[in-house]
Amino acid sequence: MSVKNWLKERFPIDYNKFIEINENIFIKEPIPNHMKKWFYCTGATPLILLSLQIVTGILLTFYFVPSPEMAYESVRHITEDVRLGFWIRGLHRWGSSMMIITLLLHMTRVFFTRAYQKPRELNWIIGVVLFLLTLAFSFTGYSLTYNQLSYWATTVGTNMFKQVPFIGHWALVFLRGGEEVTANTLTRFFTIHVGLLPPLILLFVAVHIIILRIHGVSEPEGFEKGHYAFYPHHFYKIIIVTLFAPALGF
Amino acid sequence: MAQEEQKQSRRKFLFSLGIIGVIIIAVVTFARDMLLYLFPPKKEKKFHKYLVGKRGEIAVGKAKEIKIGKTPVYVVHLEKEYKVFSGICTHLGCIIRWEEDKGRFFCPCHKGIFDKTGKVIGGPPPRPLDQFRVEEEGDLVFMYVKNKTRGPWA
Repeated sequence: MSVKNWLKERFPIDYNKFIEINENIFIKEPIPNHMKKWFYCTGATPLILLSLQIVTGILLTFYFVPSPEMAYESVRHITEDVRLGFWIRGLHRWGSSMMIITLLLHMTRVFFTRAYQKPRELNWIIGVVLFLLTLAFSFTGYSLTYNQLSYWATTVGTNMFKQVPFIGHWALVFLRGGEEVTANTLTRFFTIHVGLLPPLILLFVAVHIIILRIHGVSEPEGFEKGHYAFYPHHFYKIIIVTLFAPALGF
Repeated sequence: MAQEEQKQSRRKFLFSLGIIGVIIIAVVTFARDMLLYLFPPKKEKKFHKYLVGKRGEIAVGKAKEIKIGKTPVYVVHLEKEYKVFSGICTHLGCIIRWEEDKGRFFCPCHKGIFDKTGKVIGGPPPRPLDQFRVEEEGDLVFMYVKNKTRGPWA
């Protein structure tokens, strides 16, 4: 018995239909003509960078040790001793900066082409949440190297939470795991960075894309009406735009 | 007409071949790099080489004390070869001394005694003195000390 039949008997769904649905979602999606301009393709860039961050981030956790004595030393070990460690860490580090930059580009585009207007307000709000989540990623990730710069950035950053009315002090103690920046802070930030934020951001990205697909992308005035298929033109376009951004950064 | 179609399909074929080729190269390279990253290379043990004496400087059966950092090592000229012993007693880690008149090593802490080949001849030490690798190059005698690396990654 072939593997395909074995699978079909144990997971009995209509495979032709399954393939057709996926084709419609991933390959034949109609893209409006104005998306041929690169400025309208910046939304996929942070998504691809996010997957790059996930891969390199998982690889970094193989060597990183979140403790005050070992954090900086293990980062040094990754950059200086581990084979291609400098490369993995460099991708992760610069990828994070590029993610912020491309998100700002995307938000600028959405803002100035009024793509946030009804019925897409909810998607704009979710987009802002995604941006804040990315900032949280950057802040917690920055703290993990635990050198002088990141230690004091953590101190100053968490101090800002103290100014929030009513819950400020509570938020400070929660983030630092005490009154001061200690080993507790480092492990907390590590947990937030690798455990809490990734599922959250993936959830919001999924909702963001689902809402986008339900409404379709907004079509600004002044472009020829018409659509073309997602693959191959738009597919290559977003890859080119994505490669262009890191190429500038790296 | 038929020719045109053929032309187009060849172009398409070459195009997709190029794209798929590039994607395969990229994926394989990335996978290779990830594996290289995940599997640390086998490290050869590195040794530090010290000059400990010249041939003829030490008489047969005699020893010379040399400090490596704070701890002494002893270069002993045996009949056929040179040996270098650690100056740390194998019993509880005291510093031993060479007794020139008796031709032996003596540990003052618990009266451990070693002969000039490092063997225990008296007292509580459980094993002979630790030795270092020795090599003679021409007229010079060198010893090799293992390089200790920083951090827990050896």
